[in-house]
Amino acid sequence: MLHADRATKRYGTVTALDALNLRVEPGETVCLLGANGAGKTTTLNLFLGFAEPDEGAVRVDGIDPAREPEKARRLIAYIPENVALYPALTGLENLAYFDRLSGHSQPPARLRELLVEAGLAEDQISRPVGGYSKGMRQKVGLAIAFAKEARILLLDEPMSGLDPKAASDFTARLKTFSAAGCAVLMATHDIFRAKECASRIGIMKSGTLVETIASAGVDANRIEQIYLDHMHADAVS
Amino acid sequence: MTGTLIRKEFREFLRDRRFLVLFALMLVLLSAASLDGWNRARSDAAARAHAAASDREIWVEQGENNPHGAAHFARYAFRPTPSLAAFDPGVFDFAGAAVWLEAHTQNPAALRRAEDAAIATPFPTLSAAWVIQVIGTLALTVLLFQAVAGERERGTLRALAATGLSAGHFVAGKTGAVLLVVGGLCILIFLAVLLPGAMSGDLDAGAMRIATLAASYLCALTGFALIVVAISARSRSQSAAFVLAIGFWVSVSVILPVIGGQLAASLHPDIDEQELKNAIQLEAQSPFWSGDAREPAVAAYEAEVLEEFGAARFEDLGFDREALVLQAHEEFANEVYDRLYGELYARHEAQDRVLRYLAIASPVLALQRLSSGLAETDLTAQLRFTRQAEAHRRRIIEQLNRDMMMNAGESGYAYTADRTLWEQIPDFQAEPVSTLEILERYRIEILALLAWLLAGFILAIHLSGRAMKQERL
Repeated sequence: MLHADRATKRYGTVTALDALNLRVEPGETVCLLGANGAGKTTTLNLFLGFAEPDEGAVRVDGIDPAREPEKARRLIAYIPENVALYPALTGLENLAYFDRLSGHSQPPARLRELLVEAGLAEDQISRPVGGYSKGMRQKVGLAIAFAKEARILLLDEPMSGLDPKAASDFTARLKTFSAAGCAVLMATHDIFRAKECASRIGIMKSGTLVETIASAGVDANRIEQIYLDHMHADAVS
Repeated sequence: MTGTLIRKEFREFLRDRRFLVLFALMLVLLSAASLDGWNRARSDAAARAHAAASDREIWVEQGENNPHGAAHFARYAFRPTPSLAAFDPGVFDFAGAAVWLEAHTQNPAALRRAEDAAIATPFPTLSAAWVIQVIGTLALTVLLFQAVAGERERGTLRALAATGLSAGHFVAGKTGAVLLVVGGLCILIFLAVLLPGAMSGDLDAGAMRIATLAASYLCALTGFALIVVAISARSRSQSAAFVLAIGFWVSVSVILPVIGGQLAASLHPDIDEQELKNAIQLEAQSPFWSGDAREPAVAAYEAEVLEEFGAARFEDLGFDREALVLQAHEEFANEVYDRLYGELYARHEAQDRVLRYLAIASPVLALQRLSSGLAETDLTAQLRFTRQAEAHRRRIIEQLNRDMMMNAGESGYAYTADRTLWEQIPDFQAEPVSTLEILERYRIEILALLAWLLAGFILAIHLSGRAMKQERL
């Protein structure tokens, strides 16, 4: 469903992504681990059509997002690290707005349910988003993504700012998505959450996917060790 | 989809305290300006009507008098107060309200309304038109500078792009919201401004005039708003958008109108009033009364009279020669006045042309000119009045001189006429001007407004669409 074939992206002289080969099939959740600047967000941007590969190809369900970004984006629900919302509108109004733009028009009761499921308290739903904490905004972002009922989820540090319970609920929710046949690609720093929800974990370093680990049968400590080994490799050599 | 975007934009406007404060401020200013405008227009119209009636009464009640003496006793032509002066006074307060219609001399319009203003007043008259043209465009600037730059800086432009929203829908939503806000404001503004006049019966402008005025404001404000949206879409940040948008407002609402007036006056300086008076004395009076211009002028007019009455000699008609000479001077002086005042008017019209072409560079200046034109408070309306007043002066002085010429016989200046003649002298009636005539005169300004509107649409659509498409890393 998500295919990257030797996708390379450069910004001037800096290679942000170097010949990335990646496939995320329906029902699969892939987490990308890596330090800042490793190329995780660039990978997501290529799939969203916010960046165009200099070499190689990227496809979203067979669609080239660089050529047909709107068509590709309609298949994707995207949660960035900092969810951007309209501060003058309430959480419910923001959700209703993005829901309509996604081609749905779900009733307010259903939208309220989605916000509560994302972890937002009932009394917060009708308050202007301008007064929300980062975590609360992330929860609205989760609800927007869930409301879209997309077949592909692209997540960039989605649990940043979430309280532990909300993060746990979110992980559980992700599992139901992949169980329902969605393809999920998540960029994260959180090894333990990655282990919990991913079927495969990709470790990225300096724009290169250096290793892919099937998470089944490997514990979080082992994944952390592999990750740290890769991070220390340059320093040791 | 577009409806969803417009509803969201409108909801944000309504929750934006700046919008509410500016809206309230505009309404307060407009209400104050409107009430003051209608009061001033009403009292001004009443004062002029009273003065005209007094002038008529004094004229008719002057008793027995020599007709040429009566021509020096003289009458006034009062410029009627256009009812839309309450909305847009233009240059009305600074233009003469009355012309003294006396024999031998073309007088400039005198008695300016501004002369009655309080000395302590630091600013020109607060008018509803000024509030909309200057404060209204400032309000639009403050409200719209972040229309696209704000979305970009907040990250919502990217979030919108991520939903799969097309650039076309985004632009339609933004421009649709602008049209809704500007259209709504225009309706409210015109209701706030014109209702008091309509309710009190002071508003006598036709429906076409008011509709044209409203359309002009809608067109100008929409064009201005779309340019601000385009600036917002072109800017990398909200602060840059604010600086550019305010710069645009200052340029087109303050600098160009002010500099335009100064530029026009420096390119085509006014003729000094004293210089004009001296020229009149030297060219219209002295050559006839003490120079050698008298004989040919009298001979020419005498020939006209002989032809009119089919006589070979003036003496055969039994007419008064003194009156013939007086009217011959009028005919002689009128040619001089046509030239001297023609030069003065030509300079005013040249100044007006400078502003006309500058208006191409400023939708606000174009609107100011068209608005005062439609309100009949512009320079053109003033020149129209002075020309009509002068034509009236020539008609009534000729009527009086010819009465003396034909009826004085041997009596000359001892001949007197009475109320019967005075009542035959018509009062000055300003000839109305049609809306189509005004639109024809202001076609450059209309084209400028339409061009700004079109440019606003094209730039807002192109740059907002590009901003949406460029939402890439």
